[in-house]
Amino acid sequence: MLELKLDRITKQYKEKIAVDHISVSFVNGVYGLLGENGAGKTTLLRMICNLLPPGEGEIVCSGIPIRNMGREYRRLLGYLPQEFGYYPEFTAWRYLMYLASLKALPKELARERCRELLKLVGLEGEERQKIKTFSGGMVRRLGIAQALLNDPEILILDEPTSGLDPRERIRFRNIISSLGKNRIVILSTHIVADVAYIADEILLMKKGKIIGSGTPEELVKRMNGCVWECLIPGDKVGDYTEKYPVSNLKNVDNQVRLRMLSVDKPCANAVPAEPGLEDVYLYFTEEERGAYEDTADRNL
Amino acid sequence: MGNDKIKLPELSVDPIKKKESLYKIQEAAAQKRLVYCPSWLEILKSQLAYISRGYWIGQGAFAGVGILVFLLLGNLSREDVPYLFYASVLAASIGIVTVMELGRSQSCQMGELEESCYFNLGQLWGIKMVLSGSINVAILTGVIGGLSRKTDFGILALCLYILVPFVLSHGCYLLLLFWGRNMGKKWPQITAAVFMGLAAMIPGAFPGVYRQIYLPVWGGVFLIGVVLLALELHSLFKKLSVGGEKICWS
Repeated sequence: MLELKLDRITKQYKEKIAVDHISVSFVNGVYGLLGENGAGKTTLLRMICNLLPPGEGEIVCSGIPIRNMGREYRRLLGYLPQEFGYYPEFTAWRYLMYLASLKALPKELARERCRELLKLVGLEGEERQKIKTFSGGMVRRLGIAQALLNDPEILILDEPTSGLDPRERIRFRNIISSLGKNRIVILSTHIVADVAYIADEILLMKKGKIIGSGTPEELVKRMNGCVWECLIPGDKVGDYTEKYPVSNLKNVDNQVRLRMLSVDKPCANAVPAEPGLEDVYLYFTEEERGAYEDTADRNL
Repeated sequence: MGNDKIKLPELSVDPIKKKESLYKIQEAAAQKRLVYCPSWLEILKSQLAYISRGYWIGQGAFAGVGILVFLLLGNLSREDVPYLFYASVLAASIGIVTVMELGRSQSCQMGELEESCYFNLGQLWGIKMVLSGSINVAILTGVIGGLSRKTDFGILALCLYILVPFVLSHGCYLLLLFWGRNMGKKWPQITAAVFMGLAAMIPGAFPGVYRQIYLPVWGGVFLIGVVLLALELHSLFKKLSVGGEKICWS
């Protein structure tokens, strides 16, 4: 079984530390890299793909530094960048066959894989269409297909559901979930729902650091007692949103139902709520953390 | 005769152990990853199929223009200046087709994806450069061969006259291709091609002077151009070998 180990990986651009001494090990399974924009997710994934040399630290694949493995590491890799393009004159079939040739797949195998993957991502019948006629979601699905061409042992997906509608997101989750059994899948996102149901482990990233990790259940459990729901008058909403992180706000008749994070009961009619992964994410991405800081910090 | 043969004792095989051993071999084989390592010829053949139509049209156009110009000029009087003018403009601008093909990886945001593949961007560009270089050298060889019959310059003088704009223009195009915000854009390349073409006309305007000083001056410029181009290519492929940050990222 392959093991990918990151040992104090750091990347600094002038005065900004994009990735700050990250150490983590990956084995077979689905890992969700969750963090807001600018947290350093893409930089970290590019280093894992050997597209960016780390400033410090080492990435090791089954005991061998990936910078020494060269193309043999790239043979194990499937990568979907956050932004990727296509040659406008290419059809979906030609695009996949082209990338299959770059991934050193023999022609017959490449044809078979292209057919299978187009069916898997729901683009069967569209193979002769030019990619420039595709919708954003179709292009993204094609991107997922190309990442799987060489049956990679390490699959890196950077914001893979960007541009997908809810139905497509569900399809994508089902595909990824089935793939995680026999390979390392690392997918980065700032959308909690993308990883909440399929990740075996979630890594929370903020300002270049991994600030929390665990299974979704473990992370959620640590927020027990910190999530509250209450009904308040509409004119008081501003007071609460200033003081507490609010994960949901809904108008109910003449009042507003707030869902917020707090160590102590925030108001008389507040009731404890079942925490979710969104609450965990909100907690970590909040810049100013008020009264809930102590308990939650200790828990995490 | 048959009695001279040495009879070996029969070895008894434990069927259970045999089955276990075969099973272990089968398991180990199943875990092995079969890899396909295509030869360079196979790689070249497969990539030829994916080079853009625009590239072939461009190359064909340059070859066609070269042939056409020489056929038309063949009817004129034997003067050095028009041949050298047009030949040097051709040599200075022919590289633009190659560079625009290379730039498609950036302009179409395919560079990062290609860089992550088994055959990465550096190797892909290497194949395209070798292919283009061969085609361009073949075209220019034809031009030099044609010029040698139409002019009274020696072969060395003609080679230097043609190769200097060829080498310098390639250096210029590659520099523009990977420089800052111009990455992948076509207009700097086209502008450079026009300027390089105009600059290449200069020696042709003074054929007498060129005849006297071509070896030390144009020879020196050629060597400097080759060294600079080699350094540029070395720097480019070195950057690509460590991921190609800034070159291929979307």
